[in-house]
Amino acid sequence: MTVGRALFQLLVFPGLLYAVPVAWLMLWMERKLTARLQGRIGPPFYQPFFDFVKLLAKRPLPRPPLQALAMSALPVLAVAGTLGALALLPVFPHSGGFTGDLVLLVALLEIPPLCAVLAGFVSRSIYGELGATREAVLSIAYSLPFLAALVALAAAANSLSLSVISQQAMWQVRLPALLALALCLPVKLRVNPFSVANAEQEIYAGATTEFEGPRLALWELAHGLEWVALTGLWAVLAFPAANAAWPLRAVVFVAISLALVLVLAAVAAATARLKLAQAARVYWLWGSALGVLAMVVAVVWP
Amino acid sequence: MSPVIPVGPYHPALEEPYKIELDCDGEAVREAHITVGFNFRAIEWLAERKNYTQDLALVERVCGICSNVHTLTFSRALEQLAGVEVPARAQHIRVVVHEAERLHSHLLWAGIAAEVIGFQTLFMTCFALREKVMDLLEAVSGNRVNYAMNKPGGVTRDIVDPGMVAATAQAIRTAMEREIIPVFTTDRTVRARCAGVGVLTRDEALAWGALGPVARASGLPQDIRKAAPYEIYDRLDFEVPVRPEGDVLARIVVRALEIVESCRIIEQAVDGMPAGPIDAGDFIPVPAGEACARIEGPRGEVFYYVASDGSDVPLRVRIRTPTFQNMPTVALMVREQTLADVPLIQASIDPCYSCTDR
Amino acid sequence: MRLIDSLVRTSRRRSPWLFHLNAGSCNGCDIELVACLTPRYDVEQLGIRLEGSPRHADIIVVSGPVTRTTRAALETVYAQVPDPKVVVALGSCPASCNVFAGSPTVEGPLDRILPVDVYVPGCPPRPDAIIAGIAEAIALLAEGGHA
Repeated sequence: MTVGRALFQLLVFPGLLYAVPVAWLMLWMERKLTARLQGRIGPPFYQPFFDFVKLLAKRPLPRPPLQALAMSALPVLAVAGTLGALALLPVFPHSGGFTGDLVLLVALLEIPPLCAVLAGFVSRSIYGELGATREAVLSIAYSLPFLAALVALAAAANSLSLSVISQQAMWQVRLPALLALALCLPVKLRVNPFSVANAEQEIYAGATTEFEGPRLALWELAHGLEWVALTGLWAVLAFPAANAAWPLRAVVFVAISLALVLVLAAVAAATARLKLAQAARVYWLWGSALGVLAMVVAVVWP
Repeated sequence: MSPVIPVGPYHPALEEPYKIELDCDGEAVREAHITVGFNFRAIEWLAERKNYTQDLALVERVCGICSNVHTLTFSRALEQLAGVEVPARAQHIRVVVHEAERLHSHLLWAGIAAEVIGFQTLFMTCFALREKVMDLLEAVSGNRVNYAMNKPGGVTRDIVDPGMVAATAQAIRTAMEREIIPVFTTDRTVRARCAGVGVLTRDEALAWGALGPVARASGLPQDIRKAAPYEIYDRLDFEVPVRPEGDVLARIVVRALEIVESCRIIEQAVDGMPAGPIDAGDFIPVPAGEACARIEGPRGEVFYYVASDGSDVPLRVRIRTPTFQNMPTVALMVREQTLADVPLIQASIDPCYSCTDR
Repeated sequence: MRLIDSLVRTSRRRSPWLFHLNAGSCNGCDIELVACLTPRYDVEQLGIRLEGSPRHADIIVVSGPVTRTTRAALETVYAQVPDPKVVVALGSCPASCNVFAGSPTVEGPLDRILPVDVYVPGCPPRPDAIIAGIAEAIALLAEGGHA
């Protein structure tokens, strides 16, 4: 992977230049579809963008220096980690990548939840702490199916390289793995029925309760980027046509990502929020079953 | 983590300021302490310093959700003191507004219950239906909230279009039966959150003096409209829904069925509405004496005690609202439940703290 | 710079987040404010959101005549909302204490405690009136609020 190529992927596509507007688009789509399903008109198209600018322009509240530093650094780190994960997505065939980038991707995708956990604790609010605790418990619960699905794919492809994995057909493994990953999306994106870590009626905004102005703006951005990265990862894995031309691949990548947003928003609008223990059980039971199934198939059906 | 988690006085799940402090072990609740008094406006103190006409406007503002209940009970206490009989047409109109208020209050509650379990779509559905009730109330009284319909001796406004009232009640009944009740009773995520949560057994409900839908969801068939009928309730055909389970789901079902019954009551009250005056005429100041009145509000029994010395200012006005009785059961119900259940359990008694604090 | 200024101003106009504080209200105004969120009025069209945390808010909506027990909370919440911010007095109670004037436990009206920017009179005001009042508050917010 050349430096130019890496920079292009980080800063242009599927990184910064693509991801930030699409993050706002996805946040808008989610809110708009929810509103339409509820018989409302919903927010205008530019809403997430204006929310972001308005929060940036608010004056931060005075805080002790160390806390202020931590509360500013954590959302920046979350944004950076997600952008890094996006840059690794093998949207184009032979787009570089390196052996082991799967491991890096998994690590980078874990940065935003980790930052959220820390954010909850440094904000020194009881609700922030509760949100952080919930985030941590859930992360343990969904990590098993999430990692099992990716490991199964790697085992079946006999490679730790994302572009190799994404180009092999192996539907017998891919299907349960994709289902397991899809199950993990609502909890990683904190939407219903698994919006436990940011349950407003229980613990305000969870980890981000105490964040204001620019710091909150960065969290909102990180959240939007997580939407792009996670739906993007799913899209890359769901369309393994090795020989497709690059424009087709790009179009299909975007189309699958956006369709997935609509599906997730529709499911969220039609469900109530589960409790922490109930949500964790879904992942331990059904998530793990799917993940283990993918692994078993990967091993016995090479 | 600090062992005591405060919920309130300002919290997204609470409609009004009050505070539950939870002794928690992780997410499990060990003990709960309730603090009220944030809405204490000294209404009883003020009522003893204003004249009866001013008091009518004052008690209407004890609570913005069940405002009609307060003026109705207060008026009934004054009518008792003066020995005045309310004209039949006024009684019918009182029942229509009384039940319409129950409709909007229960729909409001259903919406809040959906909201606290994170089911925003159901919240929106309930509130969209509630707007139909608001239209009905506005058409009848001219106001969306604080209807100012009751006065000692009758009502202030006539119902000019009874057909519209009956048609709206019927439309609400159909929408309830087709859209809202099925979601609350069959949706899997709703059941997962509500069934078996916050149980109040029949014995506990008796011992703690629970009232209204909370008591009825714990198997106590207790309703002032049946036990001590007022206005025209003895001549109406309606059921009092009772469930034995005592959990949050039972409270949802009881209130949902009550909405259907209220629609039937409105249809009957409008149907049999006689012609005639809507007001027995002015009789204030009332003679010296004391009187009690109680009626079945949306949340349970509302009780008024009025003492008069014959002047135009009451000697004493005492208000006891159902939340005052139901509130302590929350501390009982949240024990050994999880933190996530607390907002739902406290909401399930349909608390009204502006009523409780006064 | 002028471009950034006008972008900021537009964003503030398009994205007002509310924090609602009940300072001893009877629920009448509060429920009408909730009605504004629901399908018939749907203020999300205007970018309005009701936030649970005061730190996320731009506009503080206060209902009720300010009872003794809520006054401290009112002051805390006001300090927690980052600038620029605007205070809306919802209903007649924060404006004049309404029927509760003269009560020994009422410390209102609101302007004795906080600088009030917009009054929405009514007992309670209709949702339409509340939206009109918030629109006025939004215009003030775009110009930088009162802070």
